[in-house]
Amino acid sequence: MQGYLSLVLHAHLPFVRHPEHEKFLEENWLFEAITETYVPLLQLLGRWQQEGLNLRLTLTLTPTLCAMLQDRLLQERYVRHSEGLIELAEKETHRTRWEPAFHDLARFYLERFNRTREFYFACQGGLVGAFRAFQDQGRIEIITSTATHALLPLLAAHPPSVRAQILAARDHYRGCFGRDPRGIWLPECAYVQEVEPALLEANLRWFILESHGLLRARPRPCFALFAPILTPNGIAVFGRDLDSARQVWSRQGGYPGDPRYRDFYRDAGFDLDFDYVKPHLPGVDKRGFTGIKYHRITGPGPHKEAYDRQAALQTADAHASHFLEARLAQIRPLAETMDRPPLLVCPYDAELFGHWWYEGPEFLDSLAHRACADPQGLALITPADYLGRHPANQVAAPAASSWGEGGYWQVWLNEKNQWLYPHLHFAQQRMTELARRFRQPGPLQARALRQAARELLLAQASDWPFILRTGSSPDYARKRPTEHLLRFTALYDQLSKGQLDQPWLAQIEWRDNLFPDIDYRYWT
Amino acid sequence: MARKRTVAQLPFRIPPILLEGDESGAPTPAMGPGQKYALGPAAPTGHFEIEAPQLPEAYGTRTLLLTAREPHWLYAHWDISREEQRQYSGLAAGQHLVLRVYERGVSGSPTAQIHLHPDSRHWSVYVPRAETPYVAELGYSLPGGLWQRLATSEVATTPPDAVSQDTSVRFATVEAPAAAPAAPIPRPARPAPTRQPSSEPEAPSGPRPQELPPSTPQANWEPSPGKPAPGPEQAGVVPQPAELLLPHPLRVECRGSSVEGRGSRVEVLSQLAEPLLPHLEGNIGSQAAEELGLPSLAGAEAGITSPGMTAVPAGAREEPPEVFWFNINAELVLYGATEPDAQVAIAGQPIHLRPDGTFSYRFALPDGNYDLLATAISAHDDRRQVRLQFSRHTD
Repeated sequence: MQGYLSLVLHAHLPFVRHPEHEKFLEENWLFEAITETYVPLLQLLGRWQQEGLNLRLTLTLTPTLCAMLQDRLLQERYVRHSEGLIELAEKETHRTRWEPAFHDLARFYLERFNRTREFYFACQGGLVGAFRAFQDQGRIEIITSTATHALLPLLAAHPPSVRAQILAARDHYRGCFGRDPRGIWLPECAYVQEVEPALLEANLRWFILESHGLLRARPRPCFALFAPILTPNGIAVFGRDLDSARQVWSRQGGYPGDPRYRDFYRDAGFDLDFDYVKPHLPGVDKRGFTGIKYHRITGPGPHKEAYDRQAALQTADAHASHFLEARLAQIRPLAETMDRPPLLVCPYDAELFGHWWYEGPEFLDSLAHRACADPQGLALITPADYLGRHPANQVAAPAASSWGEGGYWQVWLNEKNQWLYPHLHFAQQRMTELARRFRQPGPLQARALRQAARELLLAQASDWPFILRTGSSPDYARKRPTEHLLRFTALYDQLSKGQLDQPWLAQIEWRDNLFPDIDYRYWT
Repeated sequence: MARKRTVAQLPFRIPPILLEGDESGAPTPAMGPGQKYALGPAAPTGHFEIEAPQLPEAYGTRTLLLTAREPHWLYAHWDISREEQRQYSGLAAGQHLVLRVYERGVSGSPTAQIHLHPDSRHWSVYVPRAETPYVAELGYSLPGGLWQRLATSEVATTPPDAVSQDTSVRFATVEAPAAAPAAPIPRPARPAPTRQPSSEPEAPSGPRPQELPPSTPQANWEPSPGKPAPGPEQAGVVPQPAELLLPHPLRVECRGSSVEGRGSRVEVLSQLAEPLLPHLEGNIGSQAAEELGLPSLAGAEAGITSPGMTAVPAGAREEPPEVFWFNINAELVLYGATEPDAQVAIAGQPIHLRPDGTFSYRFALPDGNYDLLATAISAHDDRRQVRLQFSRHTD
């Protein structure tokens, strides 16, 4: 064996649940990810287990994602969504009867959607439990993240908020997986030294940073990115490998942009007659993604050819082979220099595989088989496995950093989203004030305090400023933190005046229902 | 004649922060692999009502917040209402507030002094040193020159912008995190065969379930109605201030001397970072800017197209071509009705009836001649069939 490869898949979605609407567009993020990423990933893990592949994978399942996957309303809506997909695919097999290329694809989608639905029912809708089973069997390591994916450096000026995000996540992880987490995915790999006390309190032992977070550590890491460091507090820090990131992530020249792969945007929901496709659209009376896409990327222009599934799978296999060869070429000179096998840490958003890059699961499958077929090459292990094999590591203080554009916090603090932060700042201070004031609350006060904590956590999600920056759904990204901050402020005022509106409290508990046992005292 | 000296032109680079918020001139068509949170080629609008209440303009605390956003940029925001800001500006010489930024503490000359626009309540400030603590003051100069401070910020430390020059090496050993219970992973008797890309995961067999099972307690949550939160005294735990570190559970040992004794090997090891440094210095953020799922230029308007074409769909909005263009397509819609419990097939393929027995199916219609047989069989085995013949030719 020449070296190690740690594949880390970060699965996250913000908490989106709208019981007050029959159908809500942004809930589709979850449904699409279940269909195209989470179920395919579970199917892969199952197949690898049956085949006895010797590998371990690391997977983040964030608390908000787990909460949605376990939510009864969203489970029922997903079933409805998948049945709508099947119905549309069935209609498409008729509609494309005289267009062989599209007809084959329609039949492919029909079969695939049926299999996904059957798998979902086989799990009884419990995808979190299915992932847990693989961890319990030692196939994967599941790590946590912060409670609502808050960007911790922007909370660092208020340590109780950092603490609450981390401890609430730990508590939620315990409930989902029956054990304590050992690793944590810092949202956006965003780090400042001030987050470490809370990590220590939660007994979290390792995390991953963007490359410059490690390379700019003090003193300079002697193994560069190819081994972890230990912070002076004893927490292990792994650095993202640059080359493997670029090959997979890059929009220009990275694998997912290959012209043979399916085009994400050319969706039947935008192509087909509106009245025909309307019952299957994710929103109400507006076009949107259906998940049925007939075209491949083809090239940089608007002309798109029909998607050729077999050619795309062959491409994914070739890319996996290329990726592995590139990693081996990268490892070989390092292996001669280092006194331990070099480690490449390759973290990716899980939704890249299957959702944004449709052939991503097949790429992973091919990569896993190729790696396991070469015991002299790379061993696929988790960062925790590495620490078990190599517990002695260099002590160095990592550098503040993130994997966002610019390498720091620009994505989450700029002209489009800076308006949020003063409101978060004051809400955070008020939450601490409430936590310290109400040492022995009555039952109704306790409910209000827990709900205030939920609203604040939801307002702190880094997804909202991210979406405001990217512009993918700016109205929604503006609405969500505004509503949570207004609800928080109303709860603060009611608690301060001793005039709680119980029916209103019950209503917002029903709407924002994650973290039922949140401990508001974390903000003390 | 003296030679005319040419002055070397220094390359001018607009600081990226000045371009923030600017939209691109030409919209980029959305195509290729997906992006995080994309719901379509363009952002959706108008799909919910925006409720009226707004967040407050200010909280009346007169607080100055300072954040180190990047190695050389600080972000400052002050909690002062517009009315208050106008009042203070009115008292100031120059009729505006001033933001002063100091290295390490408020003393001596400020590193930066910003004369603020009267309506601004936040500002981004360039600072020369990375990895440095800064503090800011908001105030104004009185007509006599005296400085009137309104607020002072907390300290914000900028991240480092370069690799450390400290190449000393100290190792430590920590307890490994408790591994997940490792089931023995059977090694295959022989290497796994080269993957053929055509296989798909097998579907579970059996009848198709219609409903999820009853929800688990975790899935169905309701607020605890009458259960008070236990106070810390009841739990027997005194709440600890957030800043007090809990005892560290890890065992840390140092064995620095043995590493330093390796001499040249340490030097060789410290060179591992060197090949990465030029890439790192030139590419932090620029690589990230290329990545899927990260902010990109604003998307283009979605072109509404007609279905089923391999080439550019009819009605697609594209870049204006050089010649006048006109796309057209055709579909066939078959619709009808029968008894709701009948079985209907079109061209041998069963179709679903609506509860009232009606049906409607679309067919893409490329050029050609078509002979379509539609059949219906009642619950009592009565049969009907219709033959439809049509053709399409495009000139």
